[in-house]
Amino acid sequence: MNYAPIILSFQLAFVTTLCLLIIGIPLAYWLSESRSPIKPILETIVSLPLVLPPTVIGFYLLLVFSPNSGIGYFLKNTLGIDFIFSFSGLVIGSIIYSLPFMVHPIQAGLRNLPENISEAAYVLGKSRWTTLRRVLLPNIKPALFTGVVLSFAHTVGEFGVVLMIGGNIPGQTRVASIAIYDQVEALNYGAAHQYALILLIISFVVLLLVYVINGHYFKKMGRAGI
Amino acid sequence: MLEFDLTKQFGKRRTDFLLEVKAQLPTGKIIGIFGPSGAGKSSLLRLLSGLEKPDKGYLKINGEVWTDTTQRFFLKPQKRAVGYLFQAYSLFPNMTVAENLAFAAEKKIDLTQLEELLTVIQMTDKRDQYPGSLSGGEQQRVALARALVRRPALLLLDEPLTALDEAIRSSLQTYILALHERFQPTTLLVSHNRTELAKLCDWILEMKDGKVTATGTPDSLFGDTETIDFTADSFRVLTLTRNNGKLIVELVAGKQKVKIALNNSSWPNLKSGDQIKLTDTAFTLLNHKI
Repeated sequence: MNYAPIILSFQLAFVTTLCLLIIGIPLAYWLSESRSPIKPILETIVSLPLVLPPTVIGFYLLLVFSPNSGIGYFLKNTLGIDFIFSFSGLVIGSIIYSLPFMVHPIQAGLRNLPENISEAAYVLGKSRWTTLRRVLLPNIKPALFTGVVLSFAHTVGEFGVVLMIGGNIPGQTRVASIAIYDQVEALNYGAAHQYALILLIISFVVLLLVYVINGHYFKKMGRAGI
Repeated sequence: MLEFDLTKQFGKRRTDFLLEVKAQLPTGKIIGIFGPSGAGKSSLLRLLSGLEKPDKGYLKINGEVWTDTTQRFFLKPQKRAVGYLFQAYSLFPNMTVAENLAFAAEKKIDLTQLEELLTVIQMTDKRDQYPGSLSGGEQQRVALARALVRRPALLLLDEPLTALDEAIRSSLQTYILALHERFQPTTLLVSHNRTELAKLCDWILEMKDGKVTATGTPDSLFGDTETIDFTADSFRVLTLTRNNGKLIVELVAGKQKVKIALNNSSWPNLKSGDQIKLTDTAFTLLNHKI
């Protein structure tokens, strides 16, 4: 059995989750605090991947990054980056596709913190950055953990966006979900089953871990007054 | 001197709230802010702390300007020497009692200061506990000490005792007095409990509908109940209610209203508006502590 698609799936999920943490925390922080009129628009954009068919996202990314479009042309000819049918393209697509799975739990976690807690830090002379790092994030560890695991699992389970933007190039864009589709198309049910079972078991274990650890965490945090 | 003249419109609709506050207050004292709900007491504290920006006006403490809209100057809350105690417990749940206090320090907390604060609030034995395992009163004690770590020039107490029961309130009042005596910050205490304000404050600022309506000593504002002489003065009857064979009579005595309970039978013709006089044969006050 060729493990490359499974490994690629996890590589993609790892890189995507890391990028999402870096993007998701400030975005969720801003959304949880902001009273700006553009907030509902941004919230809608973040949530769009929940309702849109992945093929729609994939299709538009394909258009944007195509060398025939202005952006795609600039990326390819000036910066030498090609997002179409490449791993980096998959990462971009996955970040957009899994964005709500990272942002929503963190945003909810921040909103559920006791009122005044950030203001209490501000009047103690702490900057917004220190407050976020030392006060807010440590008190939403379960939400951060949920965001990380859901984003990771969702990226592993992605199919439509990957197929549209990455195609099916072995070692580059052929992730496990595509490999299953490929094997079924070729009537190789045995190989398809192997990939499918591995994904099923890993997803089950990952989600089980979330529930077990978060359950324990909530109990501990309950004692700490959260 | 704490001096301010601040205006802020909260919300944009016509029905929303306009705060227009102006006062000159003595520093180093405990100043009570008194008034009905919605008078703008908490909003005033938020403006003083810098958590809200005024639309117009200035704020000066001991000659140091914190806000002046004519100069477009606004000092961020982080830069003001302010301690703020919120009504809701606002300790950081991820930090122990000692860590909460240490976090408040600008750099590293002075260990003598930490010990001193823990001793005054009598929490030395609970220094390593998390806020979740403390009672409401203990949490407010820690929050009070935390607000004093940076030696603020201005200490703002926003109804810190409202959520607590009577016994704990009373002990916390003692802590507030003790800490104030030790550090002498100009303290603004929001409360709608007259007894509490009379006990703690040197000066009262009364507010209504977003404006300061009166300032003065607690005595001059709340009247002095101890000087009513039942045997010498005459009183006007305001209302009468009968309850379990007793006659409850509400009297106007100076600026105060007083309710007294009398035997129903002894006052058959008493009505509202009557002027009455009490003598010590008809009304005897006994001292019983219960």
